[in-house]
Amino acid sequence: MDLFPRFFSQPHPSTRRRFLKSFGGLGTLALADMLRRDGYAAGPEGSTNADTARLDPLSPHIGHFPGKAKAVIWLFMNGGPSQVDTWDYKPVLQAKDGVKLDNFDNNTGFFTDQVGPLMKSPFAWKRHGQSGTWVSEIFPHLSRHVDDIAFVHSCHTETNNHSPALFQINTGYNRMGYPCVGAWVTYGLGSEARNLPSFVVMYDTLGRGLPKGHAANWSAGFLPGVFQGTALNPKGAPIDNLDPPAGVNARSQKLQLELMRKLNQAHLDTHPEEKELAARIQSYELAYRMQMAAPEAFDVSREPKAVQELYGIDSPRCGHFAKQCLLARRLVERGVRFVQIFSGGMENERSWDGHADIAGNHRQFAGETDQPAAALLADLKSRGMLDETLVIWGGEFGRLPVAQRPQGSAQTGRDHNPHAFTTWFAGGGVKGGAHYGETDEIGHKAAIDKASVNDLHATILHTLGLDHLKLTYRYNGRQFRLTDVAGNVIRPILT
Amino acid sequence: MFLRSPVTFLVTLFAVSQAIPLFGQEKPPFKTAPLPADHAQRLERGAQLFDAKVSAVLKENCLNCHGGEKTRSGFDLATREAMLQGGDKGQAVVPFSPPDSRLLRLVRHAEEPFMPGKSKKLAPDAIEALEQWVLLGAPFSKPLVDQKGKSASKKMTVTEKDRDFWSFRPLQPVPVPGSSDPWVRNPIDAFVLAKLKEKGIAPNPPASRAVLARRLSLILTGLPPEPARLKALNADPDALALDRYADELLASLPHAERWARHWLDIARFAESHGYEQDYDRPHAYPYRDWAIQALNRDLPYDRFVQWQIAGDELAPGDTFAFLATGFLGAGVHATQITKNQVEKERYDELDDIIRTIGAGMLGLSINCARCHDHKYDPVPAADYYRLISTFTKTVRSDMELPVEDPEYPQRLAAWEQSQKALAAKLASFDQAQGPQAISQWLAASKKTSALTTGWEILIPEKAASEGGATLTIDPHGKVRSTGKNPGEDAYTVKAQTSVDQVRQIRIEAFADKTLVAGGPGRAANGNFALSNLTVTAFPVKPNPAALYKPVLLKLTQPRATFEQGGLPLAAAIDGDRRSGWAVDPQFGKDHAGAFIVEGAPNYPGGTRLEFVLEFRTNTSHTIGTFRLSASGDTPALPLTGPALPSEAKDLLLGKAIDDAGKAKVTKWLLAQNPERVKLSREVETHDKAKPTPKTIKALVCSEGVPAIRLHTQGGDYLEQTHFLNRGDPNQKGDIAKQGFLQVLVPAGKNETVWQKALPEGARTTGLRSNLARWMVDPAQGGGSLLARVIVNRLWHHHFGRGLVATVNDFGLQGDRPTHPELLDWLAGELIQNGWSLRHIHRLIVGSATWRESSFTDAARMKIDPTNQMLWRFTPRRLEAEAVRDCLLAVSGRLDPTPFGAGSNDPHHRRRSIYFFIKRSQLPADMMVFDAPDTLQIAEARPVTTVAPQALRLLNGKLARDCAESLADRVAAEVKSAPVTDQEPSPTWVNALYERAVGRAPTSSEMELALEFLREQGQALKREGVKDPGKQARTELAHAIIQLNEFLYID
Repeated sequence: MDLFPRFFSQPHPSTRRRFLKSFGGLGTLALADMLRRDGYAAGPEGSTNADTARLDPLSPHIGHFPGKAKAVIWLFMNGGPSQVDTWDYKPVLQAKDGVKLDNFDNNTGFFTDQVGPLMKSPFAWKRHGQSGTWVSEIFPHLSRHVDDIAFVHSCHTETNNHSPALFQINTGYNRMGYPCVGAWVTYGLGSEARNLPSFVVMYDTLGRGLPKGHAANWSAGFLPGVFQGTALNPKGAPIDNLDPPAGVNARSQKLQLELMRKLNQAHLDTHPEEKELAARIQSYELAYRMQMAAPEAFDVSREPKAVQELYGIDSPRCGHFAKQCLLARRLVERGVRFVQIFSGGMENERSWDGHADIAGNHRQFAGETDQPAAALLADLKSRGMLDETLVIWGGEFGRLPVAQRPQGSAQTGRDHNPHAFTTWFAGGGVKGGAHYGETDEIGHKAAIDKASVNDLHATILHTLGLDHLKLTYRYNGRQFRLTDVAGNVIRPILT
Repeated sequence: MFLRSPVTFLVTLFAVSQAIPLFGQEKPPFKTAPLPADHAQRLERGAQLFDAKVSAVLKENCLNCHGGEKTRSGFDLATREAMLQGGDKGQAVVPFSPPDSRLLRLVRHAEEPFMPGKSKKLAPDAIEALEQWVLLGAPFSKPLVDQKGKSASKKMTVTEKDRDFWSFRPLQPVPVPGSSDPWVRNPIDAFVLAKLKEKGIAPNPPASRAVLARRLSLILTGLPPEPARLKALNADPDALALDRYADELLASLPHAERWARHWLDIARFAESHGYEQDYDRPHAYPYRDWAIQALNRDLPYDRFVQWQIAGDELAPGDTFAFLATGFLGAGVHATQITKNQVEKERYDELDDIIRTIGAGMLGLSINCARCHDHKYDPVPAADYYRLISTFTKTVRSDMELPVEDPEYPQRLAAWEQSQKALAAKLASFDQAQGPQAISQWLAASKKTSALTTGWEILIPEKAASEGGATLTIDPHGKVRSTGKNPGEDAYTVKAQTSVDQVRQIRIEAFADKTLVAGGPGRAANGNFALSNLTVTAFPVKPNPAALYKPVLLKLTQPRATFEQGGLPLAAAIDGDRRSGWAVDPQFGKDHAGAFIVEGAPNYPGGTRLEFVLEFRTNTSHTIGTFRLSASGDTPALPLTGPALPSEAKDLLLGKAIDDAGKAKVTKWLLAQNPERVKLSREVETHDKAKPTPKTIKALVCSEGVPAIRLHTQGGDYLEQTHFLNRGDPNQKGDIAKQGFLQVLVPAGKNETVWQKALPEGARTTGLRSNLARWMVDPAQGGGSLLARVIVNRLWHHHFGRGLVATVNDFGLQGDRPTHPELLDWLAGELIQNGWSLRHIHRLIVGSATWRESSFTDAARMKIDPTNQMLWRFTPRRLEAEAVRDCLLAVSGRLDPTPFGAGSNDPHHRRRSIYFFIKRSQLPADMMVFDAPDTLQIAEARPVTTVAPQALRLLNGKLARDCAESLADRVAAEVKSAPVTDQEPSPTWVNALYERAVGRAPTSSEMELALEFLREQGQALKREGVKDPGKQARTELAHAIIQLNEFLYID
C-alpha cells in the first residue's frame, strides 16, 4: 500500500541524476563521480558533503567501479582465534613442542609473567579439497568448503589487547572514535534494503556479553549516525519501535498517518523549496513499510525445515549462531548491505580468548560456529548469492605459539599475539582455495607477504567496488579514509 | 661539493638513490625500471634538459610546497635523492619510466590530487619537458635548494606569508558599510545587505512576531514559548517587545542549558571512560554544570577558555574555576593498558587534549602535525610536540572541592555555642568531683587490694623482626615498623608488667597517615593480617626455690573493634598460620583486639611477657604501628578503655607522687566516672557533628594530584614529552619544551612573555596557564582566531550554518567566510565588549538578517540556492535534545530541575542535557536524531532524515506518553468549554495548536482535526475501546507533535 504516491514513485532512470541530487546521498565522491561521468561537474569548488549527503544518505549509490560483491557477512570470531590451531598448519611447531623460545619478548602477550615453552596444536590436522588446504579437526563442516575460501595467513595488527585490537580491525584505528568498516561501506554504497536497516550487527544471545569496547565496534564515528550498525536486541523484539504503541492498532495508526500527511503537505506547500521537509514526509512512508517488512525478514521460522536443519537451528550446541547466520542470509537476500555477527561474548572462556585451555576453548567455539558458517556458504552458493556476497571469517588478533603458563602450572592456554592471525574470505569475487601470505615456521609472526589491517580493509572495499583511496570523508579539516594513509588491495586472492 | 664530470656525479647519485631503503612497510613495493643500456647518455641529456627547462618548471610551480618552505605530503623535490624517495603516497618518479611516474599523472590531471594544487594546470610544453626528463632518468645537475645548513631541510618553516592567511591575521578595526536602507536594524545587516546588493538580491522582510517569538525561544532555549507569554507578546504594541523577550530568554537558565549542550559537543563530554570496560565517571557532571553556570553568568569567553585549560592555576582556590578543567579530561581513556602500550596510550591522550583545544577553540586541526608537518596548514610537527608538552603531567583526578556555602558561618556559630555549653557542664563536673577523686579511689582500692584498674600499657624492652623490618619503640609503648616489609614476618616483643596474674591481653593497631589509605597495615592497600599471636609468661622475680617454666598463655574470647569478612580475630589464635585477623576496608582508623587469658600463673612481683606476632596470611600484610597492653582485671575491659597511668600504679604501691602526677591521675579517674563518661560521650557526639563547609566531588585535571587510576601496567603519565618521529613513541627525539603555534606568534616574538614561572614548590607546572595566556592574547597570540571561531559558532547555531561553514576548521582546507568583514567585525565586537557572548547573541537576534522570514522565490533561489548570502532564514530541524525537550515541555511532563548528577533512566523527565552519558550506552532518543558519539570533538551536527526517526516518534514511548499528557493537559486547560466524548471540541483543538505550535489552526486544519476526532472516536468505540474520545484526542495530539512544523525552526 502506498500512502504517499506523490513522493514514492521510483525515479525513472533518465532522472537518476536529479534523483541523486535531490534525495541524496553518497559521499560527494561517488556522486561527483557519477555526475562527472554524466558530463556534469560536482558543483562549486569547496562545497561540502553536507549539502548533498544529508537528505537520504542511505539511498543506494554506485561505487567507484563495478564490484563483485553487493553485500558483506562478517563472521567475527571474537577474542582472537589461534591461527596455529585453526587454519595455519605448522609442522615445525608440532615438532618443537616443549622447546623454550630464546629471545622471546615477554611483553608480546597480555600476561608478561606467564610465558611458557612452544606448545603444539592439540588438534589433528588433515588436508582437504582440491586445494589440499590443511584444516584442524575442529572444523569438520567448513573443511568441506576450503575450495571456496581464500585464506590470508599473514595478517598482523598493532596492539596486544582486545579493545584496541577490536577497534583496529573494525575501524582501522586502535583508538576509539573512528567509523567502522560497515559504516564506511554503507556511507559509500547506501542500502538496497529500504525497508530494513542497512547495517546489522548481531552479538551473543547466550548472555556472555558484548565484545570489549561495546558499540564502538560498530560505530559510525565521525560519519553521520545513520551509518552506524543496528545491533539487534539479543532478546525480545530484534529492533526497537517496530510495533505500534500499546493500545494502537494498525487501522488507527493508518488514520493518524493519513492526517499527518495532509497536514505536512499543506505545510510543505508554504515551504516549496525545502527538500528536507519533503524527505521527512517520505521517511514516514519508509517507516510504515519497515513495520511491515522487518518482522517478516527477521522470522527465520519461515525457512523450510531442511534449511533450518542445514544450519543447525535446533542444535543445542550451535543453534544460537545458526539462527544468526540464517538471519544474515535472509537480510542480505533482502538487500541489507552489511551484516556482522560476533561469535562469543567478552573475554576468556566467554569467547575465543583461550588463555587457560586452548583445546577446550577452541573446540567449544568452533563447535558453536562450524556448522552454521558452513551452512551459510552452502546456502548462499545454492541460491547463487555467494558470488555477490563477501563472507569474512576472523578475529582481532591471533595467539602465541608458546603456552600461557603461570609459574608452576601445567596450563595449556595461549596468550594474545598481534603479530600473526588468519582471516579468510569467501564469495564476493575472491579466489577459492587461495592462500596468501605465510607466517614463520612456528606461526609466531607474519613473515611473507604481510597483510596489515589496512590491507584487509582495502581488499574488502575493493570487492564492493569501492576504492579505498577515494572513499573519503572530510572531518575537522582532514580527509579521512578507512585505511588512513596506507593499505593495499590483496589482489592475489581476487578473481 | 663539486665534481669534475657531471656524468660521474649523476651516476653516483643514481647509485645512492637505489640504495635508499623503504621506509614504511605499508608502502607499495618500490618500483625501479630496468636500467637502459644507454643510461649514461640519457642522464647526460636529461641533465641538460633539467638546466634548460625542468629546473625552472619545478622551482616555479612545485618547490614552494615540496621541498622549499614546506614538504607537503612528505614529498621533497629539493634533491634527486629526496625526490626518488617519494612522499606519503608512495613513489612519485620512477627514472626512465614515465608510465610508472605518478608525478606525471598528477600534472597531466589524469589522477587526483591535480598538481600543482590550487593553481592552473602546467603549460603543455612544461608537461612534455617533465615527461621527457623522466624518460631520461630524471637527473638533477644540482639540488634545487641550496643544501647549506639545510639539515633540517624537510622541516617546515612558518613564513610571513603563512601568517597573512585570513584567519591567522590579528583582528583590525572593520568599518561598517554605510546604509540608509530601512531594512537595516544593526551593523550586521549593513554587512549582509552590502553583499546582497552585489548579487542583486533583496533580503526577506521580517517574519511575523509569532513566528519570531517561536524562533527566538527555540533557538535561545531549546523550548517552545509558553502560550500565555506568546499571547502577551503578540498584544504588546512596543516595537521592541521582541528585543525584551530576547533579553528575558538570554538571562534564563534554559538558555544556558541549551547552549552549554552545544559546547559539550565540542568538549566530547561524556560520563564514562570508554574502551574496554567503559567504567562510569560519576563525578564528571560538575563540569557539565560548570558549563551551564558559566553561560548563565555570561562568563567572559576569554576566561571561559582560560579556565578550562588552567582554572586551578589562574584562579587558585576558586572551585568554580577548577571545575572548568574537567574539559581537559572529558575524552576517552583506555581502562586496560598493557605494558607495551603505555607510552602510545599516553601520547594518544595528549593528542586528544590538543585536538580538542585546536579544533574546538582555534578551529585548527593541530593534531594533523603529530606524524609529520601539517599537510596544509602552517603547523610544523615541532609546534605540535611543544604544545602537547604543556600537559605532560596533567592527569584526571576526582577531587573533593569546597563550594560556595553562604550559610556555613551561621551553622558554625550555632554549633560553637552549644559546644561551649557542653564544655562548661563538663568543667563544672570536674570542679566538683576532682578534688576528692584520688582519696576515694585509694580507699576503695585498698579494700580490694588488687590492681583492678584497667589496661596497663606495656613499654617493651625489646622488639625484633624475623624478616628484617626495623622496629622502634617509643616511650609510650608504641612499636613502629619501618624499612623492609618482607612477604612474611614475625615480630617478637618482650615487656614487663606489674600485674601478678595476667587475665587480659590487648593489641592495638594504629592508623598512620604515611601508610597507604592511612594504614594501619603496611600491605599495598593499607591492610594487615595478624596470622598468629602467642604470649609466653615468665616471673619477674623467679623463686629460686621453686621450679618454674615459661607458660604459654591460653588466649580465649577474642574481641575486636572490626573484623574483615572471613578474617576474624579468632583466626589469630587458631594455630593456623595462614588464617588471620584483618580489617579491610576500615582503613585509616585505629583498631584493637583483646583476649581473656585462662589459667595464667600468678607471679608475685610481676610478670615478664614475650609476644610473638606472625604475619603470614597474605603478602607483606604487617602492622605499621602497634601497642600491647595487659590487665589483671576481670571481667572483660573495654577494647579502647583508658590506660592506667604509671603514677596511679605508684600511688597504689604507696609511692609519693608530685602534683603533676596527681593531676594526671585525677584526670584518669574522672575519665572513668560513669556519669562523666556519659557527659563526655555527649561532647564527643557533638564534636563529630561539627559543621563543615559544603564540598563537591568532581573530576578535574591538574598536576600533582592523585590520578584516577584504572588497569594499567604503567604510570599515570610520562615524565617527559619527546618529539616523536612519525608519531611513534619508539622513535623519540629530543625533549619537547613548551611553545605555541608559530603562525599565531609574530616572527621573532619571544614566547616567554606568556610564560611565567610559578613560585618554588608549586603543585602544578604553570605550563597550562602559559598556554591559556597565549590563547586569549588578541594582539600577538591566539586571541584573534579564538574570537573569530567562537562568534562563528554562535552564528552557526543561530542560522544553521556558520559564516565559515567548517566550524572546526579555519585552516587552508576549511571554507572561506562568506562574509569575512562581518566575521571580523563580530569578533572585534566580542573582544571590545569584554568577551561577552550575550552581547553577540543580542546583536544577532536583534538584526533584520536573523529576523528574515523563510519565504523563498524561484528567482533568488536560482542565484543563491543554499542561501549563502543570507537573503532568507533557512528552516532547520531541531537537534535531538530540543526534540525531546519540546515534547516534554508541551505535554507538561518536563521536570525543570537543574544541575546535579544525571540520569540513565531512558524515561527520566529532566532536560536532555541531564542524561547520564555512558559512552557504550548512549541514549537512543538522542542518537536517532544525530547526537554525537562523544568520542572525539564533534563537527557541526549532521541533520539526517531517516525512517528510524519516524519509527521512534510514531511508536516510541516518549512521544506516545507526551501525546497522552498533552491531550489531557489541554483538556484540563480549556475549562471554558468542557471537553466531552460526544462531540469533538474546537476549543480543545484550538488550544492544542496554541500549545504545540504556537498558533491557532487554520480553518481547513480545524476541519481536518474535527473530522479525525470524529472518525477515530467512532472507530475506537466500535472496537470497544474504553474511553474512545480520550484516545482519539491522544491520537490527534500524537499526530501534531510529529508534524514538520513542530520539529522545525522556521
